[in-house]
Amino acid sequence: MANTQDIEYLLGRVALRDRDAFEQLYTHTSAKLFGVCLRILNDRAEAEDALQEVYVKVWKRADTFAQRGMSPMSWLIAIARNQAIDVVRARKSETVELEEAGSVATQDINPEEQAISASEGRRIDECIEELDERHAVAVRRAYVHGNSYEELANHFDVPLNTMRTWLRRSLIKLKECLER
Amino acid sequence: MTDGPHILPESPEDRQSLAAEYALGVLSGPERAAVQQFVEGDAEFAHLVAEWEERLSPIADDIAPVTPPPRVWSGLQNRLFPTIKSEARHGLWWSLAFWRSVTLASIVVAGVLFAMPLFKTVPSTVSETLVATLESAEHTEKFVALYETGHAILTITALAPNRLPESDYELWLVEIQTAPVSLGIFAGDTSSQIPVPEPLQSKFVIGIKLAVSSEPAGGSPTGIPTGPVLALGTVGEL
Repeated sequence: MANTQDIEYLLGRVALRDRDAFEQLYTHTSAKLFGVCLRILNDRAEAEDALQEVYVKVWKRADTFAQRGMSPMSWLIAIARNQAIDVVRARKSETVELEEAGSVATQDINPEEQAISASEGRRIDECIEELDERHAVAVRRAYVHGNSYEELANHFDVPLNTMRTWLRRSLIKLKECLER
Repeated sequence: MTDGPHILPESPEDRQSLAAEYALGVLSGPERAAVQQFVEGDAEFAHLVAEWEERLSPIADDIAPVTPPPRVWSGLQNRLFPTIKSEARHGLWWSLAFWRSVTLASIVVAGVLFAMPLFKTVPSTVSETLVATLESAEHTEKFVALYETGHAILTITALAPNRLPESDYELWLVEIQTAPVSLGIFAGDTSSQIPVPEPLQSKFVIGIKLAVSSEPAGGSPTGIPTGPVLALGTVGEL
């Protein structure tokens, strides 16, 4: 199992155009990133296409990783989420939103369960637990499913501006909580 | 706000909020596009976004990994590292017009050759010196190759080296209608001596072609050229 330093080393080698390192990086990280894409896209074919785009970007941008100051998996996950969310936003109708029970990856905990159950001591979870329950679910749905403000507003049956305010305030609170 | 902010907000709080919303993913398509432009144009804002992406990433811990099918990897390889084979049929290698235009050493170059260091031992009576100048219309690099048949050593000198960092020059023996065979990599900073292995020695005759391509450091990973062909030349008598 590759650890953070291994991934960081491989990214450094990829920046030097090392194809073997790129293959190893893919081997160690593609399942996670595919999972991330699937949760957002809920469509295998689209997730496969997105995954390919993600790794093309990784190949091209590996040299920028160092200046981001991010941990390597966070950097990779961000590329995957941005790719998948851009695809979702470009879909003609943003109304398709499969419930977790019917989605392609069913092994993970759904956001509602996470909001209710005790966390395993992860700082972000503790901070999310401090939020109003609906706001907590909204944050997790946004992150895991890539829901837009509009989709969240529809889901919770509140005006768009209310959802914007909920999330802006929640994000500020999360930052303050994490910085304590 | 339907189309997205046109300029980056002034206040630090608004910038933080925008960076957070972008990192979380909740913005609309047009808003995301606008913010992506801000990220590209403003290093400080890009840093705020990176901080938010890092801050939120533990939420992904519970997302289960799913192994992608092998076709994703093979698709990636085809896209990022296409092989020369498909290009070769249409490209430089098989262009008869190109091959006909390659000429032998000029008198000026012959003058340079006599000044170059040759292999030190006394050549045997059956050894001959073969030479090729390698060049191409599209690239500035020129190379001169000298081959001592008796010693099976090829000396190659770059006349205008312009090797990119993390790349190597690779020398190829080219017989027509055959895949090029690597003779090895060289740095090109000074003259390099490349021993020619026995199986290839008999192929080193007048009329054979030599080529130099630019490859990743360490040479082509595939055994055939993967980078651009910088120069091509025909072997002739000195």
